[in-house]
Amino acid sequence: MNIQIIGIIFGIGMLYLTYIYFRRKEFNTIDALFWLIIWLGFIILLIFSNSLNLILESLSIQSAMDLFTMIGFVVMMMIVFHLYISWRRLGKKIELLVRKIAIKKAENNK
Amino acid sequence: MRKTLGRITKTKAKIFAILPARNEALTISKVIIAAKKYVYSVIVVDDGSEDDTAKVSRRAKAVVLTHIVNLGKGAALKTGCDYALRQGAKILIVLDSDGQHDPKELPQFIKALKSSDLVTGVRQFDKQMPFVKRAWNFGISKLFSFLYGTEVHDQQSGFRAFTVDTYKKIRWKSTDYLVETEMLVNLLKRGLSLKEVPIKTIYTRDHGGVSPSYGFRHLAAMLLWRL
Repeated sequence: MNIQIIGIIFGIGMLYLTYIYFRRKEFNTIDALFWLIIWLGFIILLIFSNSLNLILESLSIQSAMDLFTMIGFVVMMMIVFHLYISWRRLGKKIELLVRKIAIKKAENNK
Repeated sequence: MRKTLGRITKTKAKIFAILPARNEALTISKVIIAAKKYVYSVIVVDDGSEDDTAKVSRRAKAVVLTHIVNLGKGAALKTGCDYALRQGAKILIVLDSDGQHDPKELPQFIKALKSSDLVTGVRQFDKQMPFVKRAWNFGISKLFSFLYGTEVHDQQSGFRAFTVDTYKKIRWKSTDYLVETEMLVNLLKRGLSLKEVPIKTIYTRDHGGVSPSYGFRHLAAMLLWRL
């Protein structure tokens, strides 16, 4: 029960952060909606964790917290992969930009 | 093609020397002045230097291309070669700007290029070269020769010459020191010819060692490109 309360407090905190980022215009409406659904879903699942029993039994998972941990790990790996791809793309764009500026500047100075 | 090269080398025309440089204000002007005697133009790619590399290079009458942030040797070489290509270059010679390579040796590269697609300098692995570098270069060259079936004696040498036609075929993606390896891999994969010429080993200051992470990436890249 205690771990559920901690989880709910964490979910509410993340909801508040989502709202703050939206207010600061660091999130657009789609981003804010996406994270709102994620955190609301997280809180609802924690409150009504008994409703997960059917899924838990069919997957042979002992407790709801085990399920959350597994889902959390998978989501985290997906985010890391996404960040890695974004970082590589950004690096390539920066390289192209820096190289183009160098050549253009030299040609203009001729 | 060979006829064109012969004509070009007589007049120095369309031979461009490309010097990637980062914080080399102390040594670069000497290299530029010496290289200018043998080539049509010297291009310095200032790769995010924090010292007066660009200023000193301009004073020595080099064309300076500036990377506003540091990208690495491979990217700097690519910028220089792309620029030279746009200026109508026919032969590209790349060498280090820290004084490790002697520009007086440029003519032997130009001469050797008449009978091959890429010419690379081979340093003498004597006591002038720090022990770690000597061991690393020897090992990596042997492994490269084994993997790619062509005897290469100094796989890490940065003193190289090639025609623009070759450049278009071997244009690399590496932005860092892996460029030397990728250049050779692309060359051999496309069935182009390689010639080696002996060069002096000059170590005027500490040029650093081989970091474990670079060593690992180098080995991994060599194996991956072989697939």
